[in-house]
Parts: sequence; structure tokens; C-alpha cells
Amino acid sequence: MKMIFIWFLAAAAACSGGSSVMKKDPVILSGSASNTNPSGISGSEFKLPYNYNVKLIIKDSTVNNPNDDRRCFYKVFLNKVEAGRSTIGLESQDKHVEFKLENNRHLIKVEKYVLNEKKGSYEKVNNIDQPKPDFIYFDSLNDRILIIELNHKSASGNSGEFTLSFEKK
Amino acid sequence: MKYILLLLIIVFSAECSRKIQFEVEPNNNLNEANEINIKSEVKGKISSASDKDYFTFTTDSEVNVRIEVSALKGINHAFGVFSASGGEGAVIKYVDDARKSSPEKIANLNLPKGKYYIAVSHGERDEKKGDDSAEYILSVYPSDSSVSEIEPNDFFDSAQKIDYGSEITGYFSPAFNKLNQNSKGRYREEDIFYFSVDASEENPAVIDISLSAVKGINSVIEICDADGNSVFTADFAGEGKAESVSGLGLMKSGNYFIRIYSKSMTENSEEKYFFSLKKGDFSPDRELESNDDFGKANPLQDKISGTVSDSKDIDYFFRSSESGRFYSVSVLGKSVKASIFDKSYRKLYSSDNASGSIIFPNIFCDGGYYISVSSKHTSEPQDYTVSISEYEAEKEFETEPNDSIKSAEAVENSVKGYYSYSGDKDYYKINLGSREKIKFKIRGIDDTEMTVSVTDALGYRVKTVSVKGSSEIEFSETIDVSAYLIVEFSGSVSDSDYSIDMIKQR
Repeated sequence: MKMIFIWFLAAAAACSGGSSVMKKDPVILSGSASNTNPSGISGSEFKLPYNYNVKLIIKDSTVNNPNDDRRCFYKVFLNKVEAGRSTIGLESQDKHVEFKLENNRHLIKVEKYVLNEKKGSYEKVNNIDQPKPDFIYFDSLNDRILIIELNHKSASGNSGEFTLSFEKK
Repeated sequence: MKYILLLLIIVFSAECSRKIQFEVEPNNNLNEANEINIKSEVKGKISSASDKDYFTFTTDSEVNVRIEVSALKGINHAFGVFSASGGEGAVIKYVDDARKSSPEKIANLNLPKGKYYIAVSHGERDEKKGDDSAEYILSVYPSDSSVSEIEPNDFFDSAQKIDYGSEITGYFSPAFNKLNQNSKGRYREEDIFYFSVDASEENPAVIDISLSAVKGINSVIEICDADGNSVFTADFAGEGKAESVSGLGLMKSGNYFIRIYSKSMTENSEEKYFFSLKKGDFSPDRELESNDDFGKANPLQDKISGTVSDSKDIDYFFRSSESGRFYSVSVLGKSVKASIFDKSYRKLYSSDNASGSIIFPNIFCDGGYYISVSSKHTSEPQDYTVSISEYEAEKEFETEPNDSIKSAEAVENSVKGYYSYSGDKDYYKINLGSREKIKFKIRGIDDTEMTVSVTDALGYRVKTVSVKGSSEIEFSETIDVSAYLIVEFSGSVSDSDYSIDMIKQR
């Protein structure tokens, strides 16, 4: 019964071209498949995939104090396999990572790493400081670029707010 | 028991019956000098501040004598020895230890046939005051017949000749030589010897010198050329230890001087030193002292052996090198340290590998480089051998020094490197121009644990993997346009290489 409700939420987001899912709700996005267009141009309002069809963007809108604004990145696991990491930037900055995925349902999970300047290396932050939720299920499309935005509000309970949309032309 | 008692009585009686002659005042000038004999003792007093007691004796032939004036409580006294022919102005030896209440003595003074005077007076230190109640005993005896040092041998013009293969026996006595006004060793008692050398730069004379240990003496051996310029100084061992010079190379013909002295101006009139000089054969495979600084570095081709006396002794070698070639330098020695310097004397590598084998596997230095070897031990001499192998440089090999972000070497697709010395780190810079995911394939080194870190553009580690032994591992990491690779090591330094391949992933 719960899964049906989740699917309903995700499907609604996909149909509207964008959705916001708060806190611990797992998310499934679904969409129809079509052939990719190498030119990246289609007749619809959405941009066609070229090098990637899924883009994850992560930022933290709650960090406003430079002293608290740490350099960080997010390690990304796709379907439980390490698939790469985001760009590196301040917590307040957008960090992104792109993937080209086949049509299917996928699980994406993130792990946050911050810079320990004394040690000269990035370290995984404690589980309690990881975004909650730190994962999302989604369906990738090969004729649209899915934008998954994670707003990790580290200064207010580490809630992870996922926003889903398709990249427009 | 009865016999022992009888023996004690006889000895005691003999001691009581020992009559010591007393000085006859006035004896305050040469003409009034009291006559004494060698093998005699005489008592005297320094009655007033200006009192000076003169004694005279005659030698029928050349003789080595030991002269001693016993301590006078609270008084610093001294004595001078001079010949009748030279007069009081030509003092052969002036003995003054500059201390109160201590005896003045010289263990060995060589006197040719003739008439001599001894003048006992106040020393130069402290207030001159007489003491009519205190007596000194002046004793003059032949010294140990085994002594072959000919005192006075305190200056270059009175230096004693020493032949190759011979041994000289002498004393660090007296404590001071007030006649020595040399600014580098004022008042220092020195024994100076000389020897002749026939040598050239192509065929240097190789000299070994050894000086035995003497209790309480921190001895120094200094070799000077004919002009008095110091060529080499051996001051490696501490107090009560033997000192030596091994493999000193002399490239000019002529006379050389050896100066022996006690570093802290202490004396020992009881224990003799044994001092010897040997001449060895020159071999280009053996170090030539002095090679203690860059300017005196020994030229080195493929192999050379040497000895470092202690932690203060450093041996330098120079190896010329060609562009486009690299060199592997190994230093085998039980307890030695080694360093490599470029021609500007900038230290490139340093290692004190405890295993007894130091390897610098890849030295690239146009024009040449220096190798220094020193001992980790404070006093024990350490033997070592330096060997060099030369190779054609391969393009993908690292170029040291690359031990920091500043000196990171730019790499593209692959690189090979070495664990060059203990504490070695290799930094590489990756500059892709765009954000790329890279697969890294790494092959390690036998008996070495390696860690490889991929950093961000600022050099902060993003991912670190370890590679044990010569195993191969693969991992992927995203590079945000540019990054650094940092390779670190633990385990044994090796002359085997590691490799890193970088493959772009789609």
C-alpha cells in the first residue's frame, strides 16, 4: 500500500516536469523511453541527452557563515556500486555529477565528505551528519535529462530534500 | 708473620734514612746555581715573591730526563730549563700548569751532552707570595728508555722526523707550552713530527696514521703541508680514545708535518702514547682523505670504498653525469648515512636506511652530482662501499626531486618511479583540461608497501589506496580538471620500479 503511494507521488512529479520530495520519502520517477538524438535537439521543450541523461546537483542552502562553509564533495553510488563523485566545492555551492544510464529504475545514494585541512584529506562525515534521506530511486529516460537536486540542509537537522525535474532547452 | 714485620721495619728504616739534599741559598742566579746530578732530588723553598732557585747539572751524553717539582700548597710555581751555551734567554722548556698546589712536571726532555740549568720560581698565574715554611722537591731522573720522542719538538723548525712504518713513543706532557704564541693554539703543548712525500695528482701518496689511547687525553692529529697550512685534522674520538687518520691522500711532493696535541690541554706524564705512520698504495677504488667537503670530493667512476671515522666525519665523492642518462647509486655499509647533492650543492636525497643497504635508484643530474657518506655511530669507524650503475633514461620514468607539490612532475598517461630513499614521496601533477573519470592501474614494488593518493586541484587527498608488494590494483577516480598523485612508501628501499597507468573512462 505504501509503495503505491510513493509511486503516485513520483509519477505526479514526472508529469508536472518537476517535483519536490521532502525528508525521508524514497522516490521513484518513471517515464517513457525513446531513441537518443546525438544532436541534442528535439522538437519538445526538453533538452535531449548527449553525454549524460541524469544529473545530480547537490547544495546546502542553510550554510551562510563562511566559517562553517567547508570544502566538500559527495561520493555517489549507483545501484550500490561506487560510480563517481560530485565536483568539489564549498557546502553552500552547487556540486554536480552526471551519468549516462540505460532506461531502467535506478537507486542513487550519496555520501558526504568534507575537507580536514589538518590532515590534508577529505573524510567521510559521520552518519548522523549525512543527508536524510541520502538515497533516491528513479527511472531514467534516454530522451530527457533528469535533474536530481539534493538540498542538504546540514544546519537544520541534515534533512535531504530531493527535487526532480527534466532539463529544458 | 715475623718475616713480614721484619720486612716492614727494613722498608720503613730505608725510607727514613733517605736523605734529600737541601738547596743552598743564595742560589738566585746562574752563578750561584746549586749543582745537582741526574738521578737526584733536592729540596727548596720559594721564600719570597721574587725568590728564584737555580740548579745546574751536566750530561756526559745525550739523555732523556724526567723533571718534576712537587706541589707547594697555595702556590702556583713553575720551572724553566735552559742550557749553559744558550743562556737564560734561550729557554728549552718552560713548565707551568697555571694551577696552585699542583706539581710541575715534564715526562720527557731530550738533552744533548752539555751543561744545563733549572730555575724554579713562581708561575705566571696568581699573586706571587713567598712561603718560607713550604718545601718543594725537585727531582731529575732519566726518563723511560722506551721513549723515542725527542722533546722539545714543539715547533715546525724543531719537528722530529718520523719514517714510514716506524712507531714513536712519547708523552702528552707538560700541560702547557708558554712558548707557543701561535694564535690558533696559544700555550698549547704540541709534539710535531715531519715526513717526506713523493706524490702527484695522478699518483697520490696514501697515508695512515694511528695514535694510541691515553687516559684523560682527547687527542688530536693535525697534518699540515710544508707551508704550515692545515691539510687534515682528525678529532673523531673522545677522551681516552685512540685517534687515527686513514687513507689520507697527499698529491704534492714535499715535507708534511704532523701535529699531535691534547685538545683540552690536559697532560698525562705517566702513560705513554704510541704513534705510527704508514704509507699505503694508491687505488682509485679507495677513498682519499681529506674529502670532507664538496671542494675536496674524490672523483668516482663505478665503485669506491672508504671508512668514516665517526659521526663528524663526512666523505664526499663527485660523479660526472651525462644528459639523458640516469644513475643508480648504492651505498653498502653497516651503519652509515648517505646523501645525494646536485652541482649547486642542493640536497636531493638523503637516507640512513637501517638495513645496511642504501639505494638511490634514479638520479638525473646534468653535469654531475655529489655523494656524501657519514657514520651514524659517534665513535666507531664504519666501512662502506659506493657503487654506481648507469642507464639510458626512459621517458616515462619519474624525475627526482619530486617530493612536494611544488616540485610535482607533470604526467599524462603513465609514469614509473622508484622508492628512492627512506622517507621518499613522489608527487605527480595531472592536468586533463576537463572533468574526467580516470581508471588508475598501479603496480607496486616487492617488499614495499605503497600508498597512492589522488588529490583535488589544491593537493588535498580525495582517495587513498594501498598497494602491497608487487601486486597490481585498479581503481577509478574523478579528476576535476587537475589533480595531484602522491605516492608514499614504507618497507625496504628497492631498486625495482613501480608503475601507474591512467586511462580515461567514458
